[in-house]
Amino acid sequence: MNPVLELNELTVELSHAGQIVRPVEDVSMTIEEGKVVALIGESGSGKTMTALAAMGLLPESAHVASGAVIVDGTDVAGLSNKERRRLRAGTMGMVFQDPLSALNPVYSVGWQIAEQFRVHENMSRSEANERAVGLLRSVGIPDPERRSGEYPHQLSGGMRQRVMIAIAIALHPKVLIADEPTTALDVTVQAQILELLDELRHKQGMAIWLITHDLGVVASLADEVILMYAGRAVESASADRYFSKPRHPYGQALRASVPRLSQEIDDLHPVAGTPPPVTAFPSGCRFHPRCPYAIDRCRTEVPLLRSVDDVLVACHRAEEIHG
Amino acid sequence: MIPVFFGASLLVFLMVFALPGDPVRAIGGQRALPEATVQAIKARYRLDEPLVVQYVAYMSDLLRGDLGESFVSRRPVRDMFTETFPNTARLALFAVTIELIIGISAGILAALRRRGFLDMLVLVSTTIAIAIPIFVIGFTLQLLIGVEWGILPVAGLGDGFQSYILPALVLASVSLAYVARLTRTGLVESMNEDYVRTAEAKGLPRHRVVGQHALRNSVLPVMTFLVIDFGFLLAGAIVVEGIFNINGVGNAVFRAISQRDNLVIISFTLIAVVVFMIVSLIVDLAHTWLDPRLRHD
Amino acid sequence: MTEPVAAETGTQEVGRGSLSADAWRALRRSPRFWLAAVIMALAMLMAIWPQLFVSISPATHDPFDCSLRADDGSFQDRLPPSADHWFGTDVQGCDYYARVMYGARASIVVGVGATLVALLIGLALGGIGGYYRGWPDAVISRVTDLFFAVPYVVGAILLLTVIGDEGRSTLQVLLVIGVLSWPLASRIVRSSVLGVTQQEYVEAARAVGASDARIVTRHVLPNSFAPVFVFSMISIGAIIGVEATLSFLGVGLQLPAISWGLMINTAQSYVFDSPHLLLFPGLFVTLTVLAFLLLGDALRDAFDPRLQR
Repeated sequence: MNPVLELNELTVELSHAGQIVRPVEDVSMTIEEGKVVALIGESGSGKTMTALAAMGLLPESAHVASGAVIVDGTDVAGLSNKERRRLRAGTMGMVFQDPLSALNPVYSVGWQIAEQFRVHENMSRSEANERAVGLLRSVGIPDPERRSGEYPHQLSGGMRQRVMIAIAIALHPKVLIADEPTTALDVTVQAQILELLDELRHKQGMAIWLITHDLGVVASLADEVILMYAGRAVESASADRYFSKPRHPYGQALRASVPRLSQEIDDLHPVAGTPPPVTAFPSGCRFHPRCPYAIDRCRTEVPLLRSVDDVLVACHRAEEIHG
Repeated sequence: MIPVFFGASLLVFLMVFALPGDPVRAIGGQRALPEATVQAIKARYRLDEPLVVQYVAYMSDLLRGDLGESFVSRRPVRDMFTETFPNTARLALFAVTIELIIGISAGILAALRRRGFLDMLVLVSTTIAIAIPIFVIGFTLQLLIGVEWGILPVAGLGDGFQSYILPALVLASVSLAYVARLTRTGLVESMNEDYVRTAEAKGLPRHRVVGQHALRNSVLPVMTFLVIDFGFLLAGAIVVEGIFNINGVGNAVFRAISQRDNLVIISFTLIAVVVFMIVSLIVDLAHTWLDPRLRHD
Repeated sequence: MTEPVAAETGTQEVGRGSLSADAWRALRRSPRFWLAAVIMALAMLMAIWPQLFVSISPATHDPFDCSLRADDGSFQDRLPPSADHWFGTDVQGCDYYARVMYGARASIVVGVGATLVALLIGLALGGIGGYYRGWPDAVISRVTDLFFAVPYVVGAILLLTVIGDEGRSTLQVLLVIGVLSWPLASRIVRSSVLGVTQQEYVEAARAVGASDARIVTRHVLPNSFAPVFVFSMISIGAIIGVEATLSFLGVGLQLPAISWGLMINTAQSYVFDSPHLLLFPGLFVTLTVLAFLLLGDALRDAFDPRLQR
């Protein structure tokens, strides 16, 4: 299986209030055709930055400091914005978190979809509009002809997200990056969107890179899971392996914190402490201040991802810890 | 819209007829008038009767288009208006065109070269332009460009199109500064919005991202400004037409002030209210056309 | 008249003066602020104590001591700047420098005075409307809209001509401008107060039973202060410009009052021959307006929580 997207020890540097910080450090991942890879972590863990770096959409203050982003066999990390722009269409699509602000309020949704066809494939206006309507239909929007002339503020949250997905898949990208696709939506709508993504994966063989902090979303969809904490990848495993037996203390704590219906209220176990800000990452293993298993070595030496059983874990004590 | 018109005209009415002081003097222009004229004024405006009656008389005259006769020129005010209006309209249109084209372009350039030399230049020059009173700009440009360098005509409308250039430029100056600043701020803010990131994610070329996506959103604040701007233009027209001796509505007011032809001033104020409302309406419509969110309330 | 000022009330924590402390720190570092402050201080000084500035000039210290002919019989009017008359002389032979210095007073007095009038009315009406909402707000908003429908300067010209010219006093001009400016002040105050009262901490205070007076003094005032303050500065600057324009048109202050706008009116016909008659008052009024506008700008940036850090 050919990987459609590969990140090799990607590091992103950012200038923040005079300081240089690294919101993403040494992150590696591989996404193969037709697979769903979930990148999970709390807010501030660097997951969105990683995706933006992969897409070439980093804000002005940030840049790729080292590492490679390999799209379809070519390393694009070093290319200029202009070159990346040309390459992006048809290879990668991204769905952003808040569909209301991510859609332009002054143009109809049909226009925003059709735009890509007019610009990248030189289609005529009527042809592009037809394709847009068809795309709206395929993402499950009822009455697509009418909807295509409507504006983002006239649609519900769920429909807006479908429109965003339509925009992202319009040119048949090999990989679709979905950044918190369901966070801004109601629970019932969430399920529908996930179903849609699943359909895309099965029907069109699209690879999906899912970014989320919601474990429930991951469980239903992902093939592989990568756990991020404070800018680094700390565990990488197949979804089955991850959910049955997370090996990294952070992953274990996360799983334990998900309340079960059978639990008593005073029996809740939130993960102790708070994630560190990017300006003050702890030395050594970044999780060590919150880790119940931390030893001296954890404070001084950064653990690297290594193979333990059939997962990759970044923990000095991975073999000894049992979930 | 209609209630606002009646309310505003009531306001004007009160300013003239209900303030302490003698309305005859207010209308007649503070000059000693022959007794017959005083009686005529009293009769026409029903000044010996209660305010309400006065208001009704005033409004019915207004709605019939009867604005009275100037005591100075002895001509119907309405004729004075219809004669001078075309020149002012031309001047105003010219000024608005200048202010929008140059203002928006300057704003775009400044926003794209943010913190660069051009941006600083635009910021500084617009701040100064806003601070200089319009008559100072008028005389200064008249002096420099008209007299010293002799490039453009300085007075009257004798030279056809050319005569309008300098006055329109002066009239547009302050508004231009505001438009440039609003466009710049609007564009800078738009470029930081999420939908711009989406546009880039779509692989669209930069000129399209800025020109189609960001720009359309950033001119919206300019639309709101245009209504206030019209107020500036009205005032500016009086000064500019006065200085450049252009036979327009503003100049009529300018001369009316020095000749104490108050009736003209009062009548033209009312006309200004009406025109202001029409302009507000037009700008509102344009704004709604540009911003779909306003259409579906 | 003024640039549309957005009321920025966001979620500002009102610790004892934390916002003001931050703002002051930001201001201290801003070159714009210092430039504006210096010019403003000079202008105020000129307004309060013109004698100070005039005393250093070799010419007569009395702006009204004018003579068309000098002792030797030569004409003294419209002389260009020289060592004897730093700014030259005007149409009647008065020392222009002295007149320009004395002209500051009218501008500052009208600027500050009219702004105060506008604020007084605006704070009352805008505050009531924004705080109590409901029908008081509806009524006040309608009235504000009516005033907005009458173009500002045109309305001023109307009122001033109607009031008449048996010697229009500074007070009359000040009142007219102030009264025409209240709608904008009211709108700013209203939106600022609305922004604050919609915050949850005000609802919380109400729920606990705090009296209106307490809520207003403890929460509303400190948090609405910033936009109103910014508006005041910009308003003073704009009104100084408006007074100059009105005086230039002949509906503002009148002789024997000394106003920069009036000086340019008097000099109209001679501007091309004696440009100094335009230059000096024009320069001074521009600088004064500029100072207030810059100060307002600097304040607005200093109070903007988004620009902090």
